[in-house]
Amino acid sequence: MIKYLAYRLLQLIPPLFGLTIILFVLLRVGGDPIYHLVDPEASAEEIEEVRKAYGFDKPLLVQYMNQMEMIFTGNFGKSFRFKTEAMPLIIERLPATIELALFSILVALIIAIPAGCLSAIYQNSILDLFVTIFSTIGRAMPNFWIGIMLIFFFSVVFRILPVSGRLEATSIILPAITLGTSIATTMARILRSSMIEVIRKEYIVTAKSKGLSKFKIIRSHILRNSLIAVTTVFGLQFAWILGGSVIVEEVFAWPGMGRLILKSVQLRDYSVVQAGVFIFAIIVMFTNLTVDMIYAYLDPRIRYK
Amino acid sequence: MKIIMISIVLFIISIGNLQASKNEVLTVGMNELVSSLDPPTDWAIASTWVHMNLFDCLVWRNRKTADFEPWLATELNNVSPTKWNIKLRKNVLFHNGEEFNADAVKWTYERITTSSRDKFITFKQWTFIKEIQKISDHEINIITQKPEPAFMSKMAGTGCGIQAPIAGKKNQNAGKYMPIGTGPYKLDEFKKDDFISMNVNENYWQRTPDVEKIIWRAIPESSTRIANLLTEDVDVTIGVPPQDWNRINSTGYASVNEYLTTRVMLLVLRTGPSKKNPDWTGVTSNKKIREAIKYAIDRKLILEVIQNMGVPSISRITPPTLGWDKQFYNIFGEYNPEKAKKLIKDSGYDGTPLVMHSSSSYLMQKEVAEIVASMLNAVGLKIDLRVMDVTTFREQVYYPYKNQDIYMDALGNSFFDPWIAVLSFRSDRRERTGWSGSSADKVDKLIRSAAVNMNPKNRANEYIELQKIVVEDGPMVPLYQMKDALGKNKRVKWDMPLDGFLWFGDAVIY
Repeated sequence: MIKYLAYRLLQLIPPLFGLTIILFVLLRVGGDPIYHLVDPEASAEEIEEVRKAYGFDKPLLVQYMNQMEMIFTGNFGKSFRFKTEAMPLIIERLPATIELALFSILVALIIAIPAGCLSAIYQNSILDLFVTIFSTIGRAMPNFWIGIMLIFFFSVVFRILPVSGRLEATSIILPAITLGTSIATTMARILRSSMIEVIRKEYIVTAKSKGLSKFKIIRSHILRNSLIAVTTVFGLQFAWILGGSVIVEEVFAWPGMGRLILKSVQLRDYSVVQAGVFIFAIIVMFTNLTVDMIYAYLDPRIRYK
Repeated sequence: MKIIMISIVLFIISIGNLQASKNEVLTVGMNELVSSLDPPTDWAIASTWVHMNLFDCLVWRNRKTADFEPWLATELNNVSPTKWNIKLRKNVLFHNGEEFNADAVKWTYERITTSSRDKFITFKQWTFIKEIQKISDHEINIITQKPEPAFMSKMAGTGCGIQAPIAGKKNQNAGKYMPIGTGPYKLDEFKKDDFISMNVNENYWQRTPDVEKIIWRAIPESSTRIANLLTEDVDVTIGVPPQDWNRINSTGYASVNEYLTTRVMLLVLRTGPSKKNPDWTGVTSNKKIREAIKYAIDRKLILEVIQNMGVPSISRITPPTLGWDKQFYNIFGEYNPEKAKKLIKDSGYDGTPLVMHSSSSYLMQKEVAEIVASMLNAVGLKIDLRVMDVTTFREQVYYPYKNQDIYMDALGNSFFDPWIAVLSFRSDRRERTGWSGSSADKVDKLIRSAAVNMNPKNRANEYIELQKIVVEDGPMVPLYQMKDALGKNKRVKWDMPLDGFLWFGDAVIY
């Protein structure tokens, strides 16, 4: 197992290396940061002077090599905007984004597991129809719109939850619901299909004939065996949560990594974007690795070598 | 059970306390916060608003008249064209108890002037200072590189906040930064892109401000900012779009207050090729076409469409800036589509499309660009309108000088002095217009003369003369000075100063 883990960790290196190249190219093609560091009245000479001061007059290959040299020493360079090291800025925001992601997952599980189970057990009933409609609407609605509607009803009309920020303990509720709802809809659909498939298996008939209670059959036999598919989707959805957090953090003024990266992309603050995407990539890769490990727990037949 | 009862009572008491303390807190909803609390490192207007509550400058604008006046200085005398003698205010303390004196002024500005552009974004702004001489603890001389008529304006420019020298040097040596000024508020906590909280400076040299705490919150989404105002989570919010005005005004506890910004929405016309765009041959090189564009613009209609969120102007120099004049400001200018049509016919225009670039960054800018394009189409010009987001506009059109016949933009003047508003007409700054000829030469002469003219009256006349030429023959068609709107809870007694800066030293909360 340890050997397998070490092998998987080593496998992370090439994609991360590829990511640095893709990011470098995309950011350079996307725009010129110098234009965000000069005033609108700056002359052509002044612009060139600033370009030189920041080292953007050097050939792209030299710039890339300099960047890689810094990354290997754990330094992503300085943020143009904040004039401080980029990585500590990202690390500072990481807890807020992780908190939002975890609460969103919690919301998603609270909605998806009962909805998916009931929908599968009472297949083709009114309840199933209701879950299907809810899932379709949930997938179709854009995150920012759900967020604005939640703010309108729960904060402006009923005044029971804070509008934005991270100043109160209850501030997490609306952003987590916004982000969690859309994942819940997908997870509920997957769980439903997976459970319907398991319900038809012979071992479920055997369990029933053994006189096991309905609750025990669902919990120990149907749900557990259906969770592999849900776990796979969860791994994929986690990356979606991180991407979705950019918009949700913007709408709810949630001080996380997403908002920082969005602003940094707008201002071509290369170092921060690179450090942020690097951390996002590591989180996603480790999530995938964790999901693979969970497979072994859920299905004892799976063994890693 | 007892424990539950006690907990409930304590909870109610704590809510009561929270409510009481809330009345002493002013919360401001901003679209973005400062990137740094060190004034010379961030020149965004919103950042300057925050800095000015922590720091004072030697000179500042009168909040009611916007005239420059001594602030931490008590007297400023121009003893020779390049020498200013400045007497400093006594008995002023920094937030850490250090005394404000000549060393503080010297350290604050030499820290910038002896540094570089990549360290301080405002570095260039301060290079007009040649030397700072300490005469005594409360008297200095500032020697400028050349005669500097905009001295007062530049001394109130971005990064002017005086910093505590002893603590400043100590922090600098330790590689740290702490904002220690003499301003009405002192820093309590700063979470980047989240909030800044400031506590009252009880020893403020003017008088102790009434509001005990100010919290600046970063709320980038405008609908969320408005929701925060409606739920009374914030007391003041900036950038309120017209569609929300009725909703806010009908609450009974909040209102919308309009204020004038320094920005002027304008059209810039290319008149010829330039160094960065040497092969350009466009329709607007024809003077008759440029004149036709001026007559084709109906400013009255534009202002109706933007719900009067502006004051019509045919010049970029607007009040209270020196050189503004009634003949250019608060007038609609001549709207004469027939004359425009005749000029186009006389020009021999062959129907070649005119490329018009615009960003969509300011309030209803996209709509205004569309109206302007349709006005020009109506007089017979074919307009190829290209509206883009502000980042794309700046990166692909504005800074690389790729502008074609026309571009629409809004330019501000936070210096409140005309030198920056006319800079693009100077002979070495005409990359975007390619303006040349006898009028252009006259304007160049006037700009260079006014830049060193130490007589304010004569200098103002030079700018008036210059504006006349620009209106007549210039490559710029200003449309209107832009207004913005601020949402405010009625419990806050505070009016936006004439310079449009959010300074809360005189705010009161009921």
